[in-house]
Amino acid sequence: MAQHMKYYYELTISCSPHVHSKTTTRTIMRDVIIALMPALIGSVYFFGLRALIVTLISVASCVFFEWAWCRLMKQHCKVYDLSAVVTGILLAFVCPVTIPYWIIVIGALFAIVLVKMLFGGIGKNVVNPALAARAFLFSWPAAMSTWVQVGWENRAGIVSAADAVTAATPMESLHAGVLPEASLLDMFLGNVGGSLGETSVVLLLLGFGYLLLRRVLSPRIPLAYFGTVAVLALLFPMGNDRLTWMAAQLCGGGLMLGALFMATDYVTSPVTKLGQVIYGVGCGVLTVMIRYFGSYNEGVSYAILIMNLCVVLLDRIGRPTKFGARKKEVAGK
Amino acid sequence: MKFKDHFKEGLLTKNPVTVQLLGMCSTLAITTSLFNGLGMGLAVTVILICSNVLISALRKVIPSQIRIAAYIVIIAGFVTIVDLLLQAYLQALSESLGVFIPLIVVNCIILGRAEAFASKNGVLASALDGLCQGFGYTVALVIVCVIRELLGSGTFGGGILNGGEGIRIIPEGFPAMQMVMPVGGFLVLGFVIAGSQWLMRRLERRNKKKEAV
Amino acid sequence: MKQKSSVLRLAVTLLLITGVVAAALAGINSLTASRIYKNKQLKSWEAIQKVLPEGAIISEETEITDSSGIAKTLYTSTKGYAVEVVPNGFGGAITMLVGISFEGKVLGIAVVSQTETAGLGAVVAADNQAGETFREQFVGLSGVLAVTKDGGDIDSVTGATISSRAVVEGVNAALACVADLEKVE
Repeated sequence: MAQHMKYYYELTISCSPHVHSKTTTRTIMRDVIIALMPALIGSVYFFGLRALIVTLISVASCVFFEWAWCRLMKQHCKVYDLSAVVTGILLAFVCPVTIPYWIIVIGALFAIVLVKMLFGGIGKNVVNPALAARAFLFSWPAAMSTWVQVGWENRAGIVSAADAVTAATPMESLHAGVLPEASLLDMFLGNVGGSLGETSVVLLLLGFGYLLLRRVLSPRIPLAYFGTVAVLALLFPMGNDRLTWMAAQLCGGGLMLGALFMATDYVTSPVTKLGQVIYGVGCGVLTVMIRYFGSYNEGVSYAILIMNLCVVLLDRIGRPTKFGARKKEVAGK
Repeated sequence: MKFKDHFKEGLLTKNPVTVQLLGMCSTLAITTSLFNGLGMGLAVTVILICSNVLISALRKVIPSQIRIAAYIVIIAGFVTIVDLLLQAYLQALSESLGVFIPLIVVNCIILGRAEAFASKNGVLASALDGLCQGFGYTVALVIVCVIRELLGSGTFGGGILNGGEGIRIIPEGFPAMQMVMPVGGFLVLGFVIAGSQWLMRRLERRNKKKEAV
Repeated sequence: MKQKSSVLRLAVTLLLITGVVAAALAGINSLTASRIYKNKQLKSWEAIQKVLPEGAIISEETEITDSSGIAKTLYTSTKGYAVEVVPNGFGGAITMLVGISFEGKVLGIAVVSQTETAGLGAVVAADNQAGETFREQFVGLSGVLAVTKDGGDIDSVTGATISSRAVVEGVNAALACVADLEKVE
């Protein structure tokens, strides 16, 4: 037995197929970071320099907490795989730009230590760290729901964000069942209030396009997600013009950011094709349900978190049959 | 068994909350202030001792076929008595624990100890068992309470100290509200269980070393 | 304990245990009942004092049922009415008292018990600045009220629209109940 264990550690043991590729976690994460850059630059343009500082603090704290945890627990430190950087950027993206810096640090602590490292580090977390941290940060509900007017002249102060001009977000109108005042073009470009990195549909799509080109992600989950939201919005327009309502539901809030960059997270989404479609549809249904009937304006983060928890079941659906095995036999067992 | 063994079992190695995972419902729900934790712990301890004593005394009279029904009747009786007494003489506690006092009837710790211990042991040993298990429950509850109250409300001793407001340690606006919500209950309980496991392992290792020496 | 007991023995044993427990409970109940009743009276009395002007003497207490099922008890005093209303908040029922003058205007509101979210919805009942500011908005108002989000004049507690709405709903039920009363008279 001891002999076996020795070899186990010396050799790399993995399932077939043994395909070689230059793709590593690090290259994937690097691509995701590149894909998030347009939205980050956009957020600085819309909300001012504070957006960049919030993001930098978030990234720095995520990296630091992962490194510190590994040191403390005497684990092999994998911080160079850049996944903590991605979590940091996404965490900043789902918070308002006015968020006090200390809250974002606590968010990073929660995301990295409680959600990721306690479950075993990268690849083993059950839910999306950034979204789980966002849910926890609602400990400070006022800080998490202060939305500033967009525009460089109204930008939030870097030291104190208190005197920034607040404004309603499109989601508040949508939750009340009316079309937002902001035009669809503004919502598409990102010229509306909202979380730091979620507002600009076009820049997020641009980043996702890059990931598609690099074949890092498949569009299956986002398409299922968008499709479900679109159909439900078309069917139940709450007395508004159907098409405009649908477009506003798609462009509003965190749907783009959530569907493109969070629901698609490798670790917390299903691996089978059918599972991915069901997962996307589930996210869509839950999002619309929370937006229509919930007490929060936005439901994307909770929808994705709930579906994250279902992934372990969804992975059983649509599993390919073993080569040589008959379908019936597999089903029988 | 000696008192010391009973005590150690109740407090650590067979702690009703952190090891047996009994009575989770109240542990998660009411542990938001020191007052709640102490009150709930004391209420459960009193009921546990009383029911253990009575069930142990009647253990030869109650036929095994109806023992569960008989235990529940006895436990429910004591719980209702405590509930009425609290309502009459400790109204503040009764209001802040609300429905969780009547729910002690279905707290598994009490039925669990009745079935596992009191029905097989003498009156004195059962009383001792009730005391130690109740003490372990109270200690676990109080630890969860102190952590949740500190992080969630920023105070210590809420409901008791400083005229009921508790001593403020973290200034207002900073405590994480989620910690006094159900989420905080699950998180803190998880950490408390992990902590007790770590402590047990340490003690075990030390004992082994002693034996080796 | 191992031997098979007859059905009769089982029944008699259980009956005896139940009987003794019931007797004990009856005893404790008779000892504590008056005190518990007094405690509850005192509590609602204190709340009524808060919502009515000083020196008001309660002359009548009537159980009421309105169409919404929110208004529960009407206390008639020498200086106005106090209505106990139980609207549904974010975390369950909110029991509160609304003092209403004979002219049908709100004199004051007080929350007796609630299970709202600490730090958010619970502010409607809190003894701090924010809670008092919220409750004082109602004083002197009449008619049908609403929070600003629904087009009314009541500023809801930050981050707690649902709890604020529940309180408004309770006040509305109390106002409607007193208005009906005046009509009948």
